[in-house]
Amino acid sequence: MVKRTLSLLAAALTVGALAAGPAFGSSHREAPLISGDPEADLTDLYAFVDRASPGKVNLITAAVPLEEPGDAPNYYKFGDNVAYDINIDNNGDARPDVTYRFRFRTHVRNGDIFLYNTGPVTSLNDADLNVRQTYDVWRISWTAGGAMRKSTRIGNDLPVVPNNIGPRSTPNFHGLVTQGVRSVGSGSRSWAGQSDDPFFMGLSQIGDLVNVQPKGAATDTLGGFNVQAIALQVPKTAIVRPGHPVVGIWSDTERQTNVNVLTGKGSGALTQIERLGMPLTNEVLIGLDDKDRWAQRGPRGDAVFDHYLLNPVLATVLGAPDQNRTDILAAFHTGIKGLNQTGGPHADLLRLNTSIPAAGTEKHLGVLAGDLAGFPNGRRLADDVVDIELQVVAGELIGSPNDVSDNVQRNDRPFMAGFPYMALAHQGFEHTHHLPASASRIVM
Amino acid sequence: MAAHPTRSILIAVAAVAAALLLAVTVALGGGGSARRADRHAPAPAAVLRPIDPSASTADQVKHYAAEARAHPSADAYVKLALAELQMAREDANPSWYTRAEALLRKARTLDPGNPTAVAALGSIAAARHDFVRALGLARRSLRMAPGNAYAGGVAVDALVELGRYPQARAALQRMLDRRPDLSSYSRASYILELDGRTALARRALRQAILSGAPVAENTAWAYLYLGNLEFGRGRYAAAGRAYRMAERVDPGFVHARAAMARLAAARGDVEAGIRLLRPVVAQIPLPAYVIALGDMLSAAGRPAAARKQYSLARLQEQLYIANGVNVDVELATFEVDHGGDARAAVARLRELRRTQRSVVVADALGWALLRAGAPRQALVFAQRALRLGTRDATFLFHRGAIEAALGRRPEAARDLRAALTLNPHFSILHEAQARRLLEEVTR
Repeated sequence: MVKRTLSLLAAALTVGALAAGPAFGSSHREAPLISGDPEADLTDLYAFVDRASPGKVNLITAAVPLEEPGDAPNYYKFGDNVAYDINIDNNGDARPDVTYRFRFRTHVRNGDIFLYNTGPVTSLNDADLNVRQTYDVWRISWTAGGAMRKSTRIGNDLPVVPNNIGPRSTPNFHGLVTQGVRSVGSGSRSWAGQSDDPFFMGLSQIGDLVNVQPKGAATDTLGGFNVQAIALQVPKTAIVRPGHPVVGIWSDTERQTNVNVLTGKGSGALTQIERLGMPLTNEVLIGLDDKDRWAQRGPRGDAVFDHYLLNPVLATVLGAPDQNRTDILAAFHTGIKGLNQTGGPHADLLRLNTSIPAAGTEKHLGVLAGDLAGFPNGRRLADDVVDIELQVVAGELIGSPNDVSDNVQRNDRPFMAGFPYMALAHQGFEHTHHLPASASRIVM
Repeated sequence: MAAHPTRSILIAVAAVAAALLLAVTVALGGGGSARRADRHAPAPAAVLRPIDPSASTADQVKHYAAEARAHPSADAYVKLALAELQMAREDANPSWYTRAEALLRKARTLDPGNPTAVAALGSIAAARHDFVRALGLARRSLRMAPGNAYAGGVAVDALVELGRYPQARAALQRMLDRRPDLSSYSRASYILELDGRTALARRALRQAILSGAPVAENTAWAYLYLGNLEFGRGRYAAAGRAYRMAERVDPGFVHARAAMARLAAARGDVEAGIRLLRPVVAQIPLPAYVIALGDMLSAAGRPAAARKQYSLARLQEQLYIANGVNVDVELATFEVDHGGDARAAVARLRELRRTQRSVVVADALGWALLRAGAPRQALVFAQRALRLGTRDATFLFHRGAIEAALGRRPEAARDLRAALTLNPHFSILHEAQARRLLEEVTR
């Protein structure tokens, strides 16, 4: 996402934002001013009907943006006190009816956390893997009023696929990825670990002079970066109500509040850090004043954000109509009539009509190209959401057909043919980024 | 489909640039006038090239200086200013504050509603120990961008230093409730430490360390503070472990080396302390480190070498003053501890206490008053210094010494014993004196 590209910069700034002070002897202590929290920073959410098993749905979310492959001594992991949730609303009230919750634990074999591995890692329980993570998966069902009905641990101590360090440490990374697929109850499978960042976009050097990547030569700006991904495959029946195939999906991260300076004890309560439904909503459409508020609440009250979708700044910039854009509002907050409308309160949800089977041939522009199994009916890994959203905002659905494009139509790495579908993580050697692409220069 | 490919490219670029503009400002925790951006097309602002965050700070300064020259804009100036503030932290040269401040002022001229520029000016005020100003700027930034974690942090820091603890706790708890992350947990540890809640302070630091900081240096600071917390409780082995962890997560983290030097000296190996601290001082001549090196040289029986360090420290303090940093507490305490003018120190600290009613300033004032021959008044401030129940050996030693001067032998004995039990080697400067005094008052 745009946000991720930019968080390179944000990270640099957080360093700058730290206040100076000696280790001791100062009259006061200044605390760091960072506001970044990459382990709780969600990058993307995907939901699509499986092609090989038409009765199943794949739910994928990812966190920890811009992982530099094999970046010793910093290896990437899921947060130990972060709950990663994938929520499903199956009755249109924009409240979760089913939540899949993923909780991670870090294990260190010899107490020295700086040795990631002590030899080639050939299996997920290899003794040479010094720092490893395991995770539990919970399936939580909720009452209509939002109270927890039932919480069942469906996966216990499952192995997380490690970082792809390089040819000497992880000689057969594909093998490790395959070993990471685990059964979590009847007909369900789970996978968690490092993968290539599946988001793709063609962003080049931007300034008041802009370098545009010409068609054909454009490359994935997020090429060469990894993320921590969670993939879950469940039977449709586990998430839908009989006779109501449309579900609304969002993921969120929550951290435990373990310290209270007023009462002296932490409640351990979970505080939502971020949520993600439709791609790029908070990054691009929601106004600056409201970004934190948007991230920290559930989708049920999203009607208060309607005006950002009805009158989007992006439309103004694109020279498209920028008032009363009910087409954009529908795509983000209600679903599209006859395709994936959920009814109920306006809410930012990734809406999937599970009754539409996977496409024989996927079109990267999804529904815009007549491929109803693609975005914005759910989202597949290969759907070109940047182009789709740009074209919709530029007026594709309201009589202004256009081919606005960032000229990057596919990910820098091929996706796997089967579950967990993610592209293999880049390794520490032999990876390249495409950020400062050399390209033609156009004056805006 | 649009017919003209060039046009579509331009549109896409405009769109992405707009998206980026929004994203950049968000990444900064705000920036640009939000309301303006909501309603109108964003002003043509430069969206800057990112730089790998693992690049050296010097390279980041260079990078953003070039960006600011190529695309003069509020964003560019803010980024360059923040990189320069990081330089100040790394090379202890306070002239960066002056340069960064000028950039932030330029940024505000271009974009008066830029909350990051305002909050960053608040950081500079805090770094200069002008906490009233820091609080004002933080609050102004929070009015522009409510819930901005950066500005919220500046506000909490300022409230703590102004001694407005109930407000600080409430503001901090709001931060913790919103985002229990390194930024809020590490601040919590400090307030909890001042409140004498050691176990909870330790837990807060562990949570801070676990919080997955984006930059290794952030985690290194959390380990450093954990080590200092352990040192303050006389748990020297645990302190050493934490300092080593700080060094390992961020190799070359110079403050961990300084802390290890202090630990070595405290444990009796003054020569090792000197050996460890010399390169630190050469790299970043922070007054606190220069003074510590002087104290170690003095303890090693090398008074001439010690005096050289003390003069260097005074020079450094002058450099800070020239760049607008208020070093009254540091200077006053230094002069009081090294045979300087105690009356002048009292005057300075009294002036400072008009706004800064923290336990730290109260302690320094009490100690200065004792050395200025006013133990009765001194006791008033020593009591205030310990009003939160802070478990700090130096505070306890100061109060014990004041009580001893007043002939309150049981109270003096209690405090001096508490100090030496809490952290037997709390200071190479004062440990021997504390033991001597304890002997006298219990004789």
